[in-house]
Amino acid sequence: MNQSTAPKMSARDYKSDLKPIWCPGCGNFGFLNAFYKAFEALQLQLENTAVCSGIGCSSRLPGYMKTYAFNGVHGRVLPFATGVKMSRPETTVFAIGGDGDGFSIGAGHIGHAARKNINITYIVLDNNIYGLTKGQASPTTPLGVKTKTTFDGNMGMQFNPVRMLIAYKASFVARTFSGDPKHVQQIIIDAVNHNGFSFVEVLSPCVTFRGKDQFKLIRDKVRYLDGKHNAGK
Amino acid sequence: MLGNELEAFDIANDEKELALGVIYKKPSHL
Repeated sequence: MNQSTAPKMSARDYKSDLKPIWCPGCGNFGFLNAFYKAFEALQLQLENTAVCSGIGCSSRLPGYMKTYAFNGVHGRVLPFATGVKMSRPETTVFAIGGDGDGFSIGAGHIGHAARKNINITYIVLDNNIYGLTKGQASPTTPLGVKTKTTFDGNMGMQFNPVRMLIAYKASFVARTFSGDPKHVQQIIIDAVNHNGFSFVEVLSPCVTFRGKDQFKLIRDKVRYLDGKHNAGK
Repeated sequence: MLGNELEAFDIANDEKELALGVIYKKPSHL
């Protein structure tokens, strides 16, 4: 559809009829609302937008969209999203997933999507745990944390997604926090407007398996990059 | 390595304070 004849979209126009079934208090709710609002700000058209995912709690998200939506195979969202972009270059393509999906089974795909600079936006909702399968340690579970698979505390070092994506020469790397939906919204807009592969880590607490204090713990730890930080051009 | 890439690594390496925002961006070759 020609942009000038496209209908004016509001955030609710992007919502599907499915109600999210995440646990009450899940960080993904804040992200999803910000996601809808970013779509409205960008005036994305349903027929020119695809939201793809792998498997996991956050990977349920395409089901809550009225755009084209694909819930794929565990860890394989990036090859799938790449295929969508290659076959329909005019489409705005999102790849969505969690830390387990993206940094464990799917980790091998990230470097290639980054080096090829595929013009898609990869968003990882990082909750530091495998939530859908009920609380096993993931690549971003902090050292020493007890989970269902780390009874005496996690012995693995915590994975640092931002550091990895910079090392992979991704052309856009950002971090945001689902407890601040306005910030999430702006980062999504910036990522989509970037002409190339954009990566966004969203700190999105799992209140069920990481604890209800996660929002406060993260909020106490974050700092906003000010105007002095030169991220690049 | 570009100057802003080094700065971005410094920010990413800081695990006591989690930086929020666009941490690294470079001109796209597309």
